[in-house]
Amino acid sequence: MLEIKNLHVKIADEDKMILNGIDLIVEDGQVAAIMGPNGSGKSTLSYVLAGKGDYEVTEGQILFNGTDLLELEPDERAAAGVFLAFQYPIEIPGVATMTFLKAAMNAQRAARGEDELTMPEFMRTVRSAAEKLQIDQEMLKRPLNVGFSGGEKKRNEILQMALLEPKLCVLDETDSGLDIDALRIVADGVNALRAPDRSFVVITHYQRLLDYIVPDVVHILSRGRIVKTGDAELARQLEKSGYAEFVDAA
Amino acid sequence: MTMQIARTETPAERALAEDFAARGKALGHDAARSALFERFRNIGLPHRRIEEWKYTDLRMKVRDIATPAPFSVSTPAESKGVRVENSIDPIALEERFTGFEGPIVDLIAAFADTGISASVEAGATISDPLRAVYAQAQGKRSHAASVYRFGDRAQATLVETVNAPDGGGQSLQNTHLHVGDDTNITYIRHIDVGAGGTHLGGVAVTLGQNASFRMLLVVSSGDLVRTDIGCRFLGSGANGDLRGLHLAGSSRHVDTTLFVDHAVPDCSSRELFKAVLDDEARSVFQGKILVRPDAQKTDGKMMSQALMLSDTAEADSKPELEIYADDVQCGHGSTTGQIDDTYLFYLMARGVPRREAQAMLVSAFANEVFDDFDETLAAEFSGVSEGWLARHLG
Ligand SMILES: Nc1ncnc2c1ncn2[C@@H]1O[C@H](COP(=O)(O)OP(=O)(O)OP(=O)(O)O)[C@@H](O)[C@H]1O
Ligand SMILES: [Mg+2]
Repeated sequence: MLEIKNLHVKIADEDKMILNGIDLIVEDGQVAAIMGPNGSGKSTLSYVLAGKGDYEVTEGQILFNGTDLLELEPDERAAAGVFLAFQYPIEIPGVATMTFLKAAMNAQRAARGEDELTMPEFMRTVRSAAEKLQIDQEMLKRPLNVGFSGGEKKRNEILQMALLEPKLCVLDETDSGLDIDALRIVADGVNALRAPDRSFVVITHYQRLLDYIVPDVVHILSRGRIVKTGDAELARQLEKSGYAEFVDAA
Repeated sequence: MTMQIARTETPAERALAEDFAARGKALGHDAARSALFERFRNIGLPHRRIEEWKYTDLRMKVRDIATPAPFSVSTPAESKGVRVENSIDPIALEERFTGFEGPIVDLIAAFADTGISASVEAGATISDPLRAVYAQAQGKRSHAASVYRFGDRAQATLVETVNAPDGGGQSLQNTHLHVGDDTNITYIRHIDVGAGGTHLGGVAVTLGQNASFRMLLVVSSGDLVRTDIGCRFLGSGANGDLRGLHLAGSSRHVDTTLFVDHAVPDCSSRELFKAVLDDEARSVFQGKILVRPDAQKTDGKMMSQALMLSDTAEADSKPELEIYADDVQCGHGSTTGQIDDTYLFYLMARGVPRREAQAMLVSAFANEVFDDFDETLAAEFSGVSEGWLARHLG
C-alpha cells in the first residue's frame, strides 16, 4: 500500500529539518500505529502524505501502490485514495458542510469514473453515515466545522472518511478531544471500514484508542525517525514506561 | 477675494458642452437643465484633487465622449398599488442633498432623456420584485434619472440593472429613492456595462421614521465604474443595511463612494462592501458616516473587505467617521487578503480540485453580502458572482 523510503523533510523557506530519514512500509489491510513524543514529526509526516505545501522533501520517496505520491497534488492524492483525518480540523466560514461533502464525494466519484450522485442518493448516503457516527443532521446545515466542538470536528472527519471510502486512512490524533462514548463510536466507525484493501495509519498518544482499534504494527517516531517497531504489545509497554528509553536510543 | 483658478477644458468637457449646446433645448425643462449644465461646467470632470474623487480621476480617465443615444428602458410593471411612468420626474432634475451632489450628479441630470418615475402606495405590499433595466446601445452615451417613492408602510423590492454590450459605451444613471415611514424596502442595483464600458451614477436614498431599508450593489462588468451612494436618515428609528460587491479583473477600475448621513436619533446603519479582484483590477471604497449633533444613539458599523486573486490587483479603502453627537456607537474596519492556503489545502485534501476549491472559497467570501436576503434574489445574484468567477478561474 504505502512505502516511505529515507524521507527527509524540512520546513519550506527555512532550514529546520523535521523528518530525518523515515523508512516505513504499510501493507495492504494493515493498521499501523505511530506513537511518539510531542513535536517528533507525526503530524508533519501526515501532512507530507496528504500534500501540504509548507514542507519540502529534500530526500527520499513515497510510493503509494507503486505511484510516486510526491508528484501528485493534494486533490489527486485524495482521488487516488489517500485520506487524512486532521489533528486540528479547521473551520471554513461560508462553505456549507453539505455543499462541501457533495463536491468531495463527486470529485472522488469522477476520479473513479462514476457518475455524480443524484441529490436524493447523496442525502441518503450522508444521512445514514451521519447516523452511524451519531452526528446531528442540524450540524451538517452549518458552515464547515464552524462552531463545532472539538469532538464534533473529529467526528466530522470520520464522517468524511466513511463517505469517501479511501484506501489509505491517516488518522492524526483522532482520539484526542473525544469523550469516552465518542471514542467508542469513532473506533467502531474505523473498524467497520477495515478491509483487506484498505490500510490505516493511526497516530495517537494513548493506548485507549488502540484497545478499540488493535494495530498490526506499532512504530515509534522520535526526532523525525522511526526508532522502534513492534506489535500491539509495544504500545502497552510505552503506556507504562514512557518514551525515555526509545528517545535516548535515537 | 476669491481666486479663480483658470481651468482648461479637456476635449471631453468640450465635447459635452458642444453636445449640450446642440441638444439641450430639445430635452425640455430648459432652465433647469441649463442651470445643471452650468454647474457641471464650473467644476468640469472631477479629478484627484477633489477629495471624493481622489482615486478616480475622471479628467484623466474619460478621454472621449461617445455619441448620445437614449437608454432602452424597461420599466417595472404596474400593478395594484404600483404606479409607473416612463418619464423624467422634474424632482430628478432639481433635488440635491449633501453627499449626493456634485458635477456628475449634475451632468447626469442635465442630459437625462430617459427615466422612470414610480410610486408604491402607502400600505401596499408588493410581493414580486419591481424590475427596471436601462439597456445601452453598444458604444453610445446614455443618461437617465429616476425617482421612486415608497409610501408609508409599503413593502417592496426594486431591482435596477444598467447593462451594455462589450464595446466601450458610457452609461450615466442616477436613482432617487424616497422611502417613507415604517416601510420595508429592498433595493438591488446591478451594474453590468461590459468590457470597455464606463458607468457613472448612483443612488440617493432618504429614509423615513422606522424605515427598514436594505440595498445591495453588484458591479460585475465595466472598465470604469463609479457609484455614489447617499443615504440620509430623516426619521428616527430607521435602519439601513447597505452592501456591495465589486467583481473585477483585467485593468478594470471600480469605485464606490458612500455617504451616510445620520441627522436624527436612534437609527442604525450597517455597511458591508466586498471586492473580489483579479489581474490588475482596482477597487476603491470610500465610506463616510456623518453623525449630526441631534443623532444621538446612532449605531453605525462600516466594513470593507477585499479578496485578491492576483498580486497585481489593488484595493483602496477610505473609511471616515465624522461624529458630532456624544452618545453613539460607530466603527469601521477594512481587510485585504488572499485565498487562505490552509482552507484550500483542506478542501483539496478531500479531493476537491484546485479551481473548484478556489471557487468555493471565493463564493464563501462574496456570498456574505447576500446573507438574509430573499432566497430567490440571493440565488440570482450569487449566480451573477459565480458566473463571473467561472470566467475568471476557468
Ligand atoms: N509549519 C511549521 N513551521 C515551523 N515549525 C513547524 C511547522 N510544522 C511543524 N513544525 C515543527 O516541527 C516539529 C514537528 O511538529 P509536528 O506537528 O509534526 O509534531 P507532532 O509529532 O505531530 O507533535 P504532537 O504530538 O504535539 O502533535 C515541531 O517542532 C514543530 O514545531
Ligand atoms: Mg501532531
